[in-house]
Amino acid sequence: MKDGAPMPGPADRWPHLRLRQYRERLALQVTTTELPRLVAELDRDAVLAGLIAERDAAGLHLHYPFFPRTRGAWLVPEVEVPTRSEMPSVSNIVFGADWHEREIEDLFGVRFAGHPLLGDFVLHNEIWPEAVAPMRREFDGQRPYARTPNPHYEPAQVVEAPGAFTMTVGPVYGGITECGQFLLETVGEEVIHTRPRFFYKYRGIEKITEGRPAQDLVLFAERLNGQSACAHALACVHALETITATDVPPRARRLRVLWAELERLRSHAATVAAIGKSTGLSVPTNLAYSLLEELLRLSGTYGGHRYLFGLVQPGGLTRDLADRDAAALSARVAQCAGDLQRLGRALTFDSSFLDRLEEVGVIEPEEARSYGLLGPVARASGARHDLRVVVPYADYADLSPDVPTETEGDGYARLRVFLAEAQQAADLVQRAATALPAGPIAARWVANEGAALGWSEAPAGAACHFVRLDHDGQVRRYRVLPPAFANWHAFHLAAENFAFQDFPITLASMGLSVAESDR
Amino acid sequence: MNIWPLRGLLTPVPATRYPATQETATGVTPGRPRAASAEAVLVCPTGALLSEAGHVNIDLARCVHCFRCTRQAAAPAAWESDYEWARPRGQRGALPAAFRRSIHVRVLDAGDCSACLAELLQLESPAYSVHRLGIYITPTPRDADVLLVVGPVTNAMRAPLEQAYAAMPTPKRVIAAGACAASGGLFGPSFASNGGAAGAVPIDLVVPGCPPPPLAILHGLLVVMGRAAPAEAPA
Amino acid sequence: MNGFFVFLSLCALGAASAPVLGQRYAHRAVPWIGGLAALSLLTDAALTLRGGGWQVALWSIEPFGPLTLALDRLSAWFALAAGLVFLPVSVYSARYLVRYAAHYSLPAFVAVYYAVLASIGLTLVAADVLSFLIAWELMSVLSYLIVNYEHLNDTNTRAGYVMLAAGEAGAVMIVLALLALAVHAGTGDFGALRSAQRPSSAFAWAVFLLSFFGFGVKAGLFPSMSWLPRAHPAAAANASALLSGVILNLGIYGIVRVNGDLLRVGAQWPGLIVLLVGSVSAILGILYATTENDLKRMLAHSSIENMGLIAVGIGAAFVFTAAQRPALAGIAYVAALYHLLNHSLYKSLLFLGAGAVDSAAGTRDLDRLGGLIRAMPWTSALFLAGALSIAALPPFNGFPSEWLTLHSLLRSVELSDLDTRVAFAVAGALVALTAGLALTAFVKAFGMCFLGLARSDGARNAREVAAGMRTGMALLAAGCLVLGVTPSYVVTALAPIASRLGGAGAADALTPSFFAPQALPVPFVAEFHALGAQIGRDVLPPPGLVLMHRGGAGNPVVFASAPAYLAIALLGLVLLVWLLSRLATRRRTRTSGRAWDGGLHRLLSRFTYTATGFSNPVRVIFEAVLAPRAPVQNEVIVARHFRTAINRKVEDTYALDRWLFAPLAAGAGRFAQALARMHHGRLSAYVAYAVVSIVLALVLASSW
Repeated sequence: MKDGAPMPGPADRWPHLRLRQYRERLALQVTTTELPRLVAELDRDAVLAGLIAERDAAGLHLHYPFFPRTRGAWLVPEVEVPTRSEMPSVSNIVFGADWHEREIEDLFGVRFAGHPLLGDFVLHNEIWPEAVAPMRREFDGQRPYARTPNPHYEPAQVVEAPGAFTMTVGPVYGGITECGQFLLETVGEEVIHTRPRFFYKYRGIEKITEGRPAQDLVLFAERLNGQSACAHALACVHALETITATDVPPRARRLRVLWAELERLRSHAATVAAIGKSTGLSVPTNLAYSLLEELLRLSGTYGGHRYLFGLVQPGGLTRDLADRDAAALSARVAQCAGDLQRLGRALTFDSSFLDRLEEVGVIEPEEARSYGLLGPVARASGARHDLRVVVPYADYADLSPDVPTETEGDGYARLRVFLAEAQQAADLVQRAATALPAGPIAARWVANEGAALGWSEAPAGAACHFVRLDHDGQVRRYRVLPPAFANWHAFHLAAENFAFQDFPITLASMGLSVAESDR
Repeated sequence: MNIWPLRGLLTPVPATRYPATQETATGVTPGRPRAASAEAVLVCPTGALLSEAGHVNIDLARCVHCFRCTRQAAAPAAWESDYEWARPRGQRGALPAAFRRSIHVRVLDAGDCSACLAELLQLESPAYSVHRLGIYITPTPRDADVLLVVGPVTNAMRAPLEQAYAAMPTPKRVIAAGACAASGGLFGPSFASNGGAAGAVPIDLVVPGCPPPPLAILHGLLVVMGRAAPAEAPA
Repeated sequence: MNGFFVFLSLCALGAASAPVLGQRYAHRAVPWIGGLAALSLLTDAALTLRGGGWQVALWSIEPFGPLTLALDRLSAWFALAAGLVFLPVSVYSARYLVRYAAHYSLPAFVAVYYAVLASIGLTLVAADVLSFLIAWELMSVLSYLIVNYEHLNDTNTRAGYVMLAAGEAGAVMIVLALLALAVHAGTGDFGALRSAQRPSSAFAWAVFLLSFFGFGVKAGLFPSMSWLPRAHPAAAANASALLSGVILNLGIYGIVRVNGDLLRVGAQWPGLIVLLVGSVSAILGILYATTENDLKRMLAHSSIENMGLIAVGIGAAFVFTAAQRPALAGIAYVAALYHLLNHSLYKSLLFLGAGAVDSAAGTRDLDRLGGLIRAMPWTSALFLAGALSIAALPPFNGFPSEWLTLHSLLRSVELSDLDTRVAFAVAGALVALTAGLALTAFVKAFGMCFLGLARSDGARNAREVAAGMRTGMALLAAGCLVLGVTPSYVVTALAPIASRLGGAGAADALTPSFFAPQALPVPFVAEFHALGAQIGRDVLPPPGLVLMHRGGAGNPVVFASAPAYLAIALLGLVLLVWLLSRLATRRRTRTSGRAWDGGLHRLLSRFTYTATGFSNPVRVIFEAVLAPRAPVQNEVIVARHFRTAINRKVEDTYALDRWLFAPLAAGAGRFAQALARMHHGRLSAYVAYAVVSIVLALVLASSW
């Protein structure tokens, strides 16, 4: 654990709280009345990653993990909520907690006092009855749940104006798109209010992994979002390795950086292609997709699977990469990155393309901060945090990347950040591939009891996985805090007050995954 | 003056020749297990390998490409790097002869992790270019001949899936692409998902894989059009 | 003349019998008495158009001369339009008026209704200044009474008041103009005014400006048109039909009578003013119609547009007359008067349809209607006929008249004066834009009202209206179709009027009488064979089914239009397609299911487009012209970030009202307030006023 130099030690800062130091985080145990003030204080120089809820015999156990904005350590306030007592909402203090509280209310049946919009979030009111709370221990997650649809369900309407109507996009829309619903309330051209309605892809991963052997967790982590499989797998094994205090061999740590950065490059190339597709420019879109195919084939050839499934395991990696293969891979990657940069530069000369992106889909820096945005979307609106720099993992302490930032927060700023990060990623692949340390590719890993927080900087932002294992090595609780969840929360800021012709372009420029957010 | 036409004409992009010739580039497919040992049966997380009378059956529709069976030190599974995996189900067979040279496909995401969708997007890219084979992706099921389902069919997507199928005019076929749509994959039947498209809509063709590479999906589409033969044993 | 006398007697009978018949039967007699009155008027008008006409002198009033009533061809045309509207509206009224029985007196409405019919007739036959002014005022006051019928509603009362005030302001100008003419000629008789010596240019300009803007108020032309969208929706639907279909025409009648007949315009500039005012009215009217959501207000704005188009035709005719091009003037008069008749028919049809929708669904707001075609198929079909007519689509009547209007504008290339040609080009561009926007506006009106999902409970529970109402609308729709398919016969009827006003045989130029080919050169006639002019030669009465005109020496082209053939071809194509589709799907099964809506749980009406949304692009593009006030947006914010309600209000008023009339009215009000200080109640001051005015009068009288 590394401490930020100018800050006083935690024991001095909160003398009245009970602190508990874990391997990777510092837990601050508070009561429900002290929680809002503590959260407000932490929010000033740290970012709330999400809420973690666990049920035990006493009642509900809530964790609020915060990661620092500059180099530091994880600070996690923890609260015990006895059964049938009330929990105050902190959404009006840290707005990023809003969706997390709604999710926990739907899945655990806990009421957060003071939150004005609970209900109909994960479990849609048109097909689920009230008060089901599937995350309860007694609820059997393996069997289908018999329910009758509610024929009278109507989504709420916020805009009251003469002639206002709601354009529904979804849940099934477009050609090849993920399913999700956007209700755009408008009187014609301009979107006045929008609320995305997700969890059409809710697979209940957090519930169905309970009771499974710990080794299977990596498979689920990879399939949260197939396009960031490596990053989520890294966060998951990070947590598993912290539980058992396993030391990952240096060669594996270095190669993990290489694969993660390759995935980042590929993901950003896909985002650039999606932006091109949404604006209807077919030549650069097709060039970007060909580039993407090249990267996928490189991943498949050298990593065994086009999306790097089955590559990461607790203790290291499942397959090695020979030094000369690494060199060949990094040379091809450098070529692809160069092609992507040339494509990006050519796009900036196309004024009709820039017209669709500049000053469209703006998220102001203050809003980004108050919503707790993560990843390249936040960095395009002025944020500087990146988990690789503030809480380094794998070999990122030695291979520290620069963090490109923009301040306009519009689609063009996001595109610039994606391109800059893609180049950074290619450079990191280069640096990781040169001077690979020798040694084994994996350490032996055996599950034991414990709980830990694991994290990684996925292409979309900070991904955190919390794992609690039983004494027989089975999963007791698996909680995922995906970056897309926090960023979808702020999507309405980018879509509102712009024409609805800009909507698909704003959607593409955010580069977010629905599958990851819905779990 | 627009720079893109010139740039497009001057940039060569390697495109596959499949189905005229088999694709030989590396990295186009994750491959599949061809034969496995009894020890491998224990490590398979989805039950794709089943021991039966001293012989290991491989149900490819359940394989999620975790590669555990290849890492058995004692007897690693034999691995095949092919991609023609589509297997028919049900009685309807391929579409009538009128559809041999042109079909419209409606892709429906029913809870997919987005890897299958990404592979589908690659089908429209110049590397695979399905338009040259007469295959078009359409946004409305009213114009579609084939419904391509990906994902394990979550509760919330079951009704839209059934509505999309009902909105398609006959003759129509359904392809379940990916382990999730074929068999529930890793997510299986649970309180939140149906365990695949079976039961919600009648499936005519299964394309296994996690995700199935673009060439496997392309093979499946050609089978439904009647231009390619399916893989050996029906699933 | 007998026909007119019968018409007046029947109106008097109807008005007298209304209180006798009482609340239960007064409205039921309207189709019979009103219908017969209309038929007698129509008979008289038709006879006059064929070559009749009459004149009657009543008692004499000094110094104006005898009060004269006369029906000549021009008045007969307007009387024809009036009669063709009276008949269906009377048939419609019987069942429509039932909805007012609970709160208002039906005999009162019926009596005023007949009185309005009579006053309109009298205005048209008045042949001297005094009788014209008497009839005009009578008609204004009676139309105010009929607009203010639902007097319990404050909005209606205000609307009626604004209409009366505007009308009276116009009347002041009309009185001045007509009195000036009478003074110049020495007597009030129209015949004498017509043959009087031509006055000076300044006098002619004064008379033109006063009469044009004075009658223009009644016709709803720019700039005094803001009373129209208030008054027409305030009236009952059958009264609105009368207002839009007949009374607006009287304004045009006044303009044509004074400036085309009594004191024919001599210079080109008056005509250009009429042309430009007409085109500006047209474009403003249709812009407001496209962005308006109240069905009746939208139709009122559209009336402004159509009056503008008629004024464009009249203006072109004035210019061509002054430029000594009688054939072109004839075409322009034909276009304007044809459009006038067409507008009467289709606008009445649309207003009656709006009344039917209002009765059935309980609302006129397009944002709250929708899906009525299922419950009200007849009303929908008849409204569609009206919408197609007003959008100038063949085979309905809007098409030939708009074609002729644009045609006459295009012929301005044959003039030599550059200013004139530029003015015509500007007017032509505005008219073309108007035509496109009219289509948008009526697609919106029909689509939002009848198609899609019902957006309110009223629309959901609507039922088809009574047969009487449908018959009235069907008569008008049949008229629209007939007038659209037989333009050449209409033109023939208009030809004498056009010749009288513009001076030459416009009809002969427009519809060659191939039955008398010796009047035309042989190669000319031969050219027309290829265009189908000879079809039906032995069967149909002259002049044939094709409207054509040949350009001048500098412009040797043939302009032709044959809506009749087009209608037959359309019918044939539709039948052919229907047959082919039946053949092709003989052995197919048919399934019907739910519409694909993207997988929604339920498709609600609030997920579908509203009228506001549909017309929003037009509102945004023409913002500079419409100058709407910025929306007032209120948000209910709970706990800093959560917005649970957003409330938005937009108010649209005529920009011209806000910039010009409202300040004028405010200024007049302040002036009146200042003058009111005179009335302070002190008797001594009043006596002083009287003394001062007597002294002044004596001084003036003695020094004169």
